[in-house]
Order: sequence, then structure tokens, then C-alpha cells
Amino acid sequence: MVEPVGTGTYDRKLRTGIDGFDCMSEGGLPVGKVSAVVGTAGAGKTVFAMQSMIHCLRSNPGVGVVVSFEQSTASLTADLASFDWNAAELIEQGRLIVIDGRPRADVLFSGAFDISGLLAMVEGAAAPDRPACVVFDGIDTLMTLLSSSSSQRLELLRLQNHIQCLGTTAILTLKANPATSGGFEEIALYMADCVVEMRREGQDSVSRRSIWIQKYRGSGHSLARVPFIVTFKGVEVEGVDSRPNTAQVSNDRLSMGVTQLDEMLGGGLFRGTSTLISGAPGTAKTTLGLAFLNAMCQRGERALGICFDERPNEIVRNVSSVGIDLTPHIASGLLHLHGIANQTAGPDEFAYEIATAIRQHRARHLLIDPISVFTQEAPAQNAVRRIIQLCKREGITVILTSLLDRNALEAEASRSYVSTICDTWVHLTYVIHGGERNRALTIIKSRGTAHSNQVGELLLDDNGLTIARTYTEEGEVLMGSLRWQKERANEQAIRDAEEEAARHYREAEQSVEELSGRVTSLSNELEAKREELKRLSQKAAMITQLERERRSQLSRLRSAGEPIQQAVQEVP
Amino acid sequence: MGEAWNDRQDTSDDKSTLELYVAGDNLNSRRAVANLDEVVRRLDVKTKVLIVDVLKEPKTAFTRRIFVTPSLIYTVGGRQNLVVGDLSDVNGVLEKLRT
Repeated sequence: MVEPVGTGTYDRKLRTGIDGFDCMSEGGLPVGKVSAVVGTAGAGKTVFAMQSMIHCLRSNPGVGVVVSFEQSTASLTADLASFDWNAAELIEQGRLIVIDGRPRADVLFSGAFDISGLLAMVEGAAAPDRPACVVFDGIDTLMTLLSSSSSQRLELLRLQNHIQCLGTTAILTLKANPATSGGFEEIALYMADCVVEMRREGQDSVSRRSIWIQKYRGSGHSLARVPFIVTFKGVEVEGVDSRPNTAQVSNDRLSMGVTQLDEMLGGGLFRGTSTLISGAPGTAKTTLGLAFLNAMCQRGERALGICFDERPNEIVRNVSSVGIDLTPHIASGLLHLHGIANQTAGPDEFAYEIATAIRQHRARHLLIDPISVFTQEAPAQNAVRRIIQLCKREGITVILTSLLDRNALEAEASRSYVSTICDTWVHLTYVIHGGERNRALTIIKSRGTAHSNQVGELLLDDNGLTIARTYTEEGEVLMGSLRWQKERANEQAIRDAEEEAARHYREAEQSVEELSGRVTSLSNELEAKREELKRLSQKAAMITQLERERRSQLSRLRSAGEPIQQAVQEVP
Repeated sequence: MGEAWNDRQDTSDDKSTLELYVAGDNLNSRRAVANLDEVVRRLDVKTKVLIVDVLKEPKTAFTRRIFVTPSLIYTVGGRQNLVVGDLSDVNGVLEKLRT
């Protein structure tokens, strides 16, 4: 009658319709066996049991019987109506039978008794068919009526035997009371084929619920204690996907919407990775995150922004002032900004709401602004880890912003371990110097990327975001107007140097010209001197000759005779 | 419920009835039936007696909301008294039924 479903060693399982639980239990509760749901008051045991039963009735023919030992039929019916299971329809059709099993106050106990009546009654309720599913809600109330633990044990075995003979699936809920452990609770846990423990505990003004499978005969199951929440759909356990993550690793680089930042990241973010943007209030974390979503929408890809601090329309208005216009993307349906309505909910509710929003929007890119609403307590961090794991599995690129009150990075690293699981970590700080406050951007890490080690200055103006290279002056980073001054000063210095060089060149050129002029004139002079020298030397020879002739003539004139003769003879 | 009617006493007086629900022929059932005999004998009111085996008639167990067996329902003057167990404390049972 009941369609067995499931996988693995245990091949007869009844899906509960609680996806996360069906995943944990590798298919659901055991068919034709007794399952026990134990837990503290208000943990959601009844919801779990009723949800499972109604899911069974929706997917199988037959009748379900619930015996409530703690509340009236009217009260239980009213409770069922608060979920979207449409239980009233099943009750009307006679497929869901609710029996008030509260002990009567005026009853007299006289001697030994057993619970055969209950078992017969359940059988009788569904007659002539066997019930498909039976819930004994708060069976501990009935058990405490039994005088001794041996009779409790006996009755539980009777119940188990009867259920197995009937071939129906039974779910018992019972309150776990540590003070009385060793009583029938323990027997119930030994007897049942599957034991699910649900717990509710208060923590930081938020109560948390968790579920785990204590035992499951003949079946593999998750060993983890998993948080769950109760919504109008009933118990919602976040998908605990035990399958290995086979998502493709992408080499696709995505722009963060800021050209210079993409350059610093070696070309942009890898698709499907997670990025943390941390920083003090007002360091433009949100703007940077939205610039990324904007860039993704411009590529025609679906993006989702989860906003805790601001309302979506405030965000749209605020980023329009820095040249990021989100309205066309929202209008086209590519972008959805999801404001978290219930700010006081716990981390598990947040994580669930985010996961639901991702599914509904079929988002490929996600911004959570800020992730620091999740505190550093383990449950909150687990919720964050689940979100990031979900994104990794689905190949969703995720950006988380994180608020930091202090600038110290060590504080961030110890505050939350988000920074350790994220692939990329961009940190924003304020640098106060020279009477102004500027935004400094550094990339602390980026897995698989040769990223820049430089500090950039994040600039916001009407045209969008840009990152300016900062100047290191005597070991000090200059930003803002100091950087501007330095940039201008540097430009001036370069111009000066250029002019100086040009001047030197011109001067040298002139010198060369002048010198070569001088060389020409000197060589001319030299030539002239040489000519003169030559002339002078000829002249000197001539003078010498003339002098010699004059002397010889004179000597001839002074002494007649032979010397003159000789002299006459000498001159031809 | 016709065949389950078991007249132990004068059946003409239908102002009160005693319905005993048992589960099969076990020790509790036999003790309850025996103790019921004594109860009926000592009860000074004429009453109809009915013994039902819920294992044979689960439908009746459902309509009469029998959670535990043996259960004794005493109906008199529109009021119902419930006694649970094998009725071993006959005096106590009688006292309860007379209230």
C-alpha cells in the first residue's frame, strides 16, 4: 500500500517531504517500522511527525491515524491548519483521523492493564484497510500510566510487534527528560528502528533548533546535528548534501565592475568563488559589492543581493549617486535585492531565507551585505559555511561584506573564520592623514591569482568607482589631496626635468657650434700663419741673398783690385 | 455490538450498562472478567453487562476510544465512569461506580 522509496542498503523508506531530513536519512523513515522522535518541549516533534504523515498520505493511498496524548482534537486540528499542508481536506475526506488520547482525569486505575486497546483502536480507525501511517504523539504520557518499567518495556515491545504485524509505519513522539532517563524513554529508543532527536535551546536571545539521527537500523545516515527551522511549510532542514562536490571549477574571470581592481586581481574574480570585502563603516563595501552585481547584470547574468542593513530601494538610490544604475536590471528581472524582513531571527533562519532566495531567483551571483550579522559563535559560523558551500556547489559567485569596527586585520581574522574560507579577501580601511580621510583598498589574498600587493585608493564619484595608485613618499602612502599634490608635483618635476634637459642640449649644441666655429676660424688663422711663415721664410732667404750681394758689392767698392775682381767674378 | 451483549443480570433494566473491553484471552482479561462478576454481584443496581474483545472488534475500540485494556465503562443516568485495569481492587471499583 505504501510506496517504498529510498536508496542504499535500506530500500524501503518513506519520504518525509522534509528534503533536508530525507537527505540526512538517505531516503526517509523506515516503512512498516517504528520510528521515535525524541526531544525537548517545543522542539517541533509533533510538527515533524505530522508533516511526515501528511506527506505520506499525499503521496500514497490509505488512511493516517494520529493519537494525540497531549492535546485535544480541536487544538491539534487548529495547529495543523497553521501550516500549508491542507490537513483539513484530508480530515474531511476521512483520510486523516485525529484521536484525542488525553487520559481522563476521573479515571480509576485498578490493577494491571496494557495498551492493546490503543493498538486495536488504531486498527479499527482505518478498518477495513490497514492504516498507512500512525502517529502516537506524546506517547510518554500514556507510558507513565503504566506502573512499572517492566510493564513499560512489555508494552513498547507489544506496540512494536503490533506495528510490524500491521505493516504500517509508526512515528512515536516523546519528550526526553534527562532527569528520568533510564526509564521508558531509553527502552523506546532501544526498541525503535529509527530514532530522531530534535532539540531546542536558547542562545543569545535566539532559540535554535537542531535535528540529528540518533540511530537507524540497517541504514546509513548523516551523523551531523543539523539546524532546522519551523516555517509555515513545517520543519525545514537545510539541504545536507553528502554527495561530493562535483561542480566544475571555472577559469572564467569576472569583472568586479572596477577596471583597476580587476587589474589588481589579475583579471577579475574566478566564477564560482567567494570573496570577502571587509572594512570599517562607510568604506564603500556595499558599493563595491553592488558594482560587481551591476557588472554581472550587464553581462546578462542573474544576480541576487541580500540586504540586512538597508532597504532595497534605499540601496538603489544610494548607489545611483556613484554612477551605478540598478533600476534597469531590477526592471528586467536580472537583479533581485532581497531585504531581510525579520532582523531578530537566528542564523539558521537567515541561512534558510538566503538559500530560498537563491533558489527562487535562480541566482548565479550573490551579494550578502553584510555577512557580519552572523556572529562569531559556532552556530552562526556554521550557517555561513553552509551558505558558502551551497554557492560552491551551485557554482554561484558570492561576495560577502563584513563590517569591522577596528582596522586591525588580526581582529578580523580571529573574529570570524569567513576570511579563511573565502577565496579572495579585499580589505578596505580609512587612512587619515593631512586632515582628510581616504579609502585604502588592499587585496589580502586571492587564491589562484597573482594579485597586486599594492595599496590602492578607492575613489567614488559621479562616474563610478576607480582606484588610484598611491604614492609612497619616504615610506608613507599618500592619498587624497596629498596624493593629488604629489601627482601634480611629480608632473611638474617631470616637466621641469624635460625643460632642463632641453636647455642643456641646446647649450651643448651651441657650444659645439661655437667650438666648431672657433676650430674653423683657428684653422683659417693657422693656414694664414703658415702662409705668412712661408712668405717670411722666402723673404728671409731673399734678404740674406740681397745682403750677401750688397756686402760683396760693398767690399768690392771699398777695396779695388782682386777682391772686387773676385767679387765681380763671383757674380755672374 | 449485538453479539457482544452478555447478560449477566436482568436485561429489562437498561438504565445502566457496564462495558468491559479486553484484549484477547490473556491473564489481565481473565482476571478482569472474574473481578467484573464480583463487581456485578455486589453492585446493588440492575445493569446490562457487555464484554468486548478489542482484538476481534477493533472498530468498536475506535468508536469507544479504548486506549488501554482492560477498560470498564459504567454508564448510568447519562454519566460515564471509567475504570482501567484488571479490577483487582473490587471495593475501590464499587466505590467509584457508586459515585
